[in-house]
Amino acid sequence: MSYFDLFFGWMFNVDPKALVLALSAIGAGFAMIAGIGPGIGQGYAAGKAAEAAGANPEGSKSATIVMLLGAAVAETSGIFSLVIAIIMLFANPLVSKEGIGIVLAASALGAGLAMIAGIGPGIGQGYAAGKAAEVTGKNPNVQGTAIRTMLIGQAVTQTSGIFALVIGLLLLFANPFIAREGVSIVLGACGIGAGTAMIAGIGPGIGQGYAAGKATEAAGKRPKLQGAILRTMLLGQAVAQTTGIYALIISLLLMFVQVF
Amino acid sequence: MGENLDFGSQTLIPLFEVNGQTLGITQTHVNTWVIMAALIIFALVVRAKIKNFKEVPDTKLQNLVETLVDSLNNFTVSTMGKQNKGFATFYGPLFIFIIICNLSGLVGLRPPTADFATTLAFALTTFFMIHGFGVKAKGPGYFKFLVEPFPFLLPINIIGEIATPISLSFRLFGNILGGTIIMGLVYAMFPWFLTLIGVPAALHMYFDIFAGSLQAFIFVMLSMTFVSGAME
Repeated sequence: MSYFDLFFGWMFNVDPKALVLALSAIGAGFAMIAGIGPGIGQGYAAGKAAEAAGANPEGSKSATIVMLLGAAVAETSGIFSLVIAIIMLFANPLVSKEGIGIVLAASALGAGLAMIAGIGPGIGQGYAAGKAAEVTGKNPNVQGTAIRTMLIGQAVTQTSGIFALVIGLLLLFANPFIAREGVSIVLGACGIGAGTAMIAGIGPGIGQGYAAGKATEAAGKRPKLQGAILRTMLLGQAVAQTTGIYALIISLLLMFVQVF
Repeated sequence: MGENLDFGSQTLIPLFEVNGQTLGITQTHVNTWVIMAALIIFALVVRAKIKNFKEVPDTKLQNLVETLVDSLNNFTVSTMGKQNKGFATFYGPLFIFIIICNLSGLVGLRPPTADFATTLAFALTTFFMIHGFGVKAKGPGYFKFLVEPFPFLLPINIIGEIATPISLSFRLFGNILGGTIIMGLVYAMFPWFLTLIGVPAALHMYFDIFAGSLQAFIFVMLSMTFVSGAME
């Protein structure tokens, strides 16, 4: 017990509101780590568009349009993180809630940690945007097909980022720990754990983005086979989503089922 | 600062209480009715004038209506295939409604799609359409896909099917709510002179016009892809 007191004992003596504010600040910082993803992805897309412009000057205009469109979509997970960070900084709903300070503070940290998952969709969507720019640069006639395939692929790639957003919003606005009986340190740890689990979303995000990119490339080469290509892509992406869904299940279990 | 940001729809007229939660007519309801009224009036005007439509369009209204119907038909056919052209009568209006909802932030309404109730309703409609049309097209054997490729994957397949409406609804909701929150923050936070050089206008371009039309497009296209995928 002495180690427990040494590490966590002080938390019981701090003003609960101060503790919530402090960990919200850390959480907001963690949330913004997601910016890694869109940065890499958009850079890849821009690189591919530049390559396409160099190889085929006639296609450079369509490649640039497709690149900008795809890169704007790849920005989404960065914006989700920004929204969670802004909520925690300016209108934190946990500050005004009645409850145990440690639990609320840990929930805020968890919400921030969950948003790190945005790295994956950012990279993946950027990869798809790059492949679309590449294939459009080679043959501007396939622009419509390439954009359509890219958008469907990118939308599915976003899924794990959306799951992270769901967990983040749940922890902030519909926190299940407030009404729960239990040891406060365990409940707080459940909040952090629920958020941390969602980081797994990085994997599905990158993987589904790879599938989306390759499907876009294939559909750009053979626009007539778009239907078959899309079906295969969606099937594979659903399988790649599995580990992200495991993470979501564990996260929801920690939040809504009394495991301990 | 916090009171300038809107995260939830405000309840305008409280009606009754359930478990301490006040239920009633919210901003979302009112804004949805406003948008519905606008669309219904447009439809009635077109209906009244449709007698005057000629073989070759000579009025702006006829041109507009024909372009609209044609592009929505083409959109449906290119996503779902020729045999499913009839779905355009459902997905066309759905697309128009969602895009008007998303763009309504431009005229100062709170977008109804920034309320999870609206997007969940659309996503659940899609969910039942996927499996309903799947059963209609293939009979009870449709549900075999749940035990493929291996029977022990059944729980994962079921969870994956339930995840479809969740991700579909939160994709639309998250994007539109994010735009609403950021625009609220911009107006609350920026010094007034930045509004003169068009900073909020540029942000409206991205968050309302670009993200709004794109998310409407993606929602409808994904819904179409899932439904036609279940049928073949």
